[in-house]
Amino acid sequence: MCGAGGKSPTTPVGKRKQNARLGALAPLGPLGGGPLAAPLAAPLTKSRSHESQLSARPDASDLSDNSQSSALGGGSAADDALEGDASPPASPHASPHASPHASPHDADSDHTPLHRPLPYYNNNSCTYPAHAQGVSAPRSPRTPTVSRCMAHDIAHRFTKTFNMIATCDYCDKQMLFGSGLKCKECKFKCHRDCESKVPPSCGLPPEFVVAFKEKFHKDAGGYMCASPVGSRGFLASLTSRPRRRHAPPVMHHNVRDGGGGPDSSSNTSSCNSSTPSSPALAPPATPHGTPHATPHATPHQHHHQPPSHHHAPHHNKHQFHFPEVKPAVSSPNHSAHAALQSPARAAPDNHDIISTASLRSDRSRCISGSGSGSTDSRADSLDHTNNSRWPRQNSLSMKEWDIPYDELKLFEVIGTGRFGTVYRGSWHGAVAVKLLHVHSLSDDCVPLDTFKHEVATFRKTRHENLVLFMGACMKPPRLAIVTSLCKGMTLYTHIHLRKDKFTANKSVLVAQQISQGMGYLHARGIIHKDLKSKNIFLENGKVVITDFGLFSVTKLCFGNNARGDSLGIPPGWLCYLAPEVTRALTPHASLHLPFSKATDVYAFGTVWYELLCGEFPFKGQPPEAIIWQVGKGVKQSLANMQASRDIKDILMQCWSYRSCDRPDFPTLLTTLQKLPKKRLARSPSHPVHLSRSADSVF
Amino acid sequence: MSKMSKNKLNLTLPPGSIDTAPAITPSNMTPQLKSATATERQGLAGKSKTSIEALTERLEQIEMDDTQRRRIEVFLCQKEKIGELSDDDFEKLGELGQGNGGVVMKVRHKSTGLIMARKLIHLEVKPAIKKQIIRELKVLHECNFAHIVGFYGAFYSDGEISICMEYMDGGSLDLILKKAGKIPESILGTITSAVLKGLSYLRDKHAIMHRDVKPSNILVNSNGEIKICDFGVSGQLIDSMANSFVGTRSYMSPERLQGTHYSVQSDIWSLGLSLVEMAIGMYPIPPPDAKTLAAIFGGQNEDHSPGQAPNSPRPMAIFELLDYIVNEPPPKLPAGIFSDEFKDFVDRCLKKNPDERADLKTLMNHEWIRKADAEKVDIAGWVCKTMDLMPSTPNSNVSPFSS
Repeated sequence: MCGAGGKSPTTPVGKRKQNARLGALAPLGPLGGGPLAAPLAAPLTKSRSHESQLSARPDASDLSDNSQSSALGGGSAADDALEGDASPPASPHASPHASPHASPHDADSDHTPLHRPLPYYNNNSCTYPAHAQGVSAPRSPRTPTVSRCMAHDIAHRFTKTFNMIATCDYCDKQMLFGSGLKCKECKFKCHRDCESKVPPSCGLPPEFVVAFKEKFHKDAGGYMCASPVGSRGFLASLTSRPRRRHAPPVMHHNVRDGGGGPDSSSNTSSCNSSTPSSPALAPPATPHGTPHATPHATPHQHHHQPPSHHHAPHHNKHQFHFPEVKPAVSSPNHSAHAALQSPARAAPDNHDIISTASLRSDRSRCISGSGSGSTDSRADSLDHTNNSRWPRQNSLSMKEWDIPYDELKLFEVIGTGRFGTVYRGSWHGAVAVKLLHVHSLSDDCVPLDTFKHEVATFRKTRHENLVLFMGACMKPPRLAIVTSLCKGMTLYTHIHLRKDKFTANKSVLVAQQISQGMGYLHARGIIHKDLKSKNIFLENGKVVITDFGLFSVTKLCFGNNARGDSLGIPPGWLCYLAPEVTRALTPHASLHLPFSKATDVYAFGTVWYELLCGEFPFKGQPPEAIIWQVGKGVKQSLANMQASRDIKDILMQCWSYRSCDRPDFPTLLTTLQKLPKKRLARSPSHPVHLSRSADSVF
Repeated sequence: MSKMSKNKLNLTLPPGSIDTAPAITPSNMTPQLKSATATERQGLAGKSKTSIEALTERLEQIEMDDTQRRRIEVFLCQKEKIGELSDDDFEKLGELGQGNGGVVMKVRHKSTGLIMARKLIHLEVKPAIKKQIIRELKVLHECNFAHIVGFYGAFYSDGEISICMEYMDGGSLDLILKKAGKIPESILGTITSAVLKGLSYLRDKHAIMHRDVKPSNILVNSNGEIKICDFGVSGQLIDSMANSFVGTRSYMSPERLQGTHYSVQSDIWSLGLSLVEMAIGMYPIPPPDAKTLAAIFGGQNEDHSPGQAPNSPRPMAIFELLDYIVNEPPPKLPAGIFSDEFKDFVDRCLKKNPDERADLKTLMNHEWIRKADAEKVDIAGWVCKTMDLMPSTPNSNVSPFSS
């Protein structure tokens, strides 16, 4: 079938499929801006009224290409859509619907495809959290434009759940305890592994889900199946239109992706290596640099957390039907998927128009690594916060950062971490190359995703006290992050190995710089999560912080793999954990530790202690004792510490039991700057001893 | 056993410390020990004489019956044949389990054919620290007692410290507990008596406390011997451990958790907690409810998965568990199922205030222990039955040559 509309008005399912296809870029069609369109407002409840409208919908097959695209009537550019609006939806039914649509449509055509939900989708859209604009009446089918995603394209928001025995809604097989995912919105349950295959059918009634699923898979080939004709036209329109996705922020981080037109097949990305993790689907054009940040600190403005990111790919699929889009560019199935998926992802925030070409390239590029549903699901299950899904970065910019592995020269090992090894290397100068241990990718650890995440994080950081990110190599199995080589030694080496003494003044200077760098990180919405003396370099007196955003459960996985029931605690880690984190420690492999900016401040407190005392707090105590004491609020005694009252106060504040009592870094910086500097011998400003008057005696 | 050229400092022994004609019979043990260890143990060169002599003296002083003494002599005899231990001397036979910080393998020492348990601890530390650890571990050579696991030697290779110990074919009590479900009171009595003696030995003769008493650190063999292992002899090793594991069970005493002063009394708490666990078949914190207990003890067919009580409490975060230990009343044995003496013994061990807790001496004289000592309990039989082992012949030291 071509375009939206499906088989007959009475089979919304069919339509849906069409929509899905049409919706490659634009969400499913005829019904008007698929998922995107739909959930404009806050999660709406499904209403049945739309069903009738659905059935009344114009049969997409009746529509010509144009009409189809119009049927899709995504929010964006609407021209075609708009035109199509009034009439096309071929069937008479459409009209009544169309009209109401039309208006909102016009109104926001350029902004919110979401506003043109198909009646059908409206229903479901009600349940879509993401696109908040509030769905109104179904719109008439319009020729789908690129940006118009008429497809039902609402990704599920899965959270890992330790389900009791349940049946996967996707593959109908049993799910073992603890390995399932459940959509927060519509309660759709599936295996972690199935997650990537689940279409963005959040909120759809079950019978539609099935159809959607099939369609989804069909589309998997990356083709806009159904009506080539329609597609072409569609595609053409896509090319010319900015793709506008109803912005569920959730999915789109960088919407930029818009919907590359099919023609953009040429986008063989110039980047030779597919950057798997480059989440950046976002087309370069987008001004929103922030998406990166969002996952870190602020869940997307609108809404839902990135877990849905994961689904974005699915979206794409639907929206994007360009055959060419196929994974040609990148490889393996995943990529294919990814490619398809990316466009979808792009949507929300992006109001820009993105050339399909670039989109496509971005997508294909991005997909490779990130695409892998399974890793994503793993990541997802591991870490439900934004972070896991985050990596949708502007693929174009990822391109700039991508470094072909062969250009890197590696020398000796300078450090090893839980899942990576750091080498001194050379790439246009001295660099540090952190190579991910690919073999350490196991079920519970998602270094791949984390890796991508770290790369995403790094790209946003430019500060003199933070290590300079120079690029990454994202081609599995070669995953590497290239940063400038830190010249000095770590604080850890200075303090614990070389036993260098830091005077109070020097400690304050170091602390100030740490606060500065950390303040910047936090301002960029990045939580370090692993601030410690081993991650702070001193280059000639200048502080350089590394490894931010890298911390992940993988570090704990190391121990967990050995003993399922125990938590492996790396040495020197516990004393950096704030009480709320300590209390959350469990032996389970998947952890969600409540890291926050305040926990970074606590860790800073410990570093401060190390600087001043030359050793770790709770020295010599077994881990259980530390866990209990810190969890209870017991702090290391400062009685024996030789430091001024102010200094001890700072320490105590950083170590406050309640996270809200801890200062933030800018405040800390100010406090540190205000500390009286120790002066050497003071002499009065006037020569007292010379005065012989009686006054001077008293 | 050729002399290895590890004598980098060119240390020499005082004349007369080496006997030229070692004869391998228990009666000649003393001179043999001197020669073997003197020439073959690096690092001991200077004090070989003293340690061996001290060793033999101590052996005589320690309260052991003849069987036990003889077994130790045999052990030492076999031990002296071993030269410098090194990585290539060993042939891996299997894995025995995961200890804290490392894995334990069953290995054969190729040149002598002895079967040993080799514990590997991954450590990446400076050479100076390495040496210190090895040095501290050497103290283990002097810990020879019926209820302390025998020590063959320790060395560092390839980023890992290897500690080679006597192989106990019955394994540790936590594995036995898994198989047996729970351990009968009479067996526990004998086991406790042995552990108390071992702890006393460590404290009296070496002034060290164990620091890590728990079922997985109590080993048994098909000969019916009960020995403790993994005691904290090397402080540096403890400090350097790459990874500590903290899990759903902790045997740490409340005072240690609180960071306050602790002593050998801490070991008593750990022992008491271990006993309760072994008696009821599950870790007793949080305490099982009546229903669970009924399920464990009610039916004649005990469930063989003692670790899972019918109503498992929801898994606690580590902190919660530790907080329970510190703040809530200590566990106790269910009434009616065990003898009053046992119940009393355990209660005395599990006093939260270390000063109120019974000490080693009191416990060794406790009614329950005296009762256990008077009984002749067939540990060997029980071990063999539970673990499906062949009983070994009484006079050999569990035939360390057998796999």
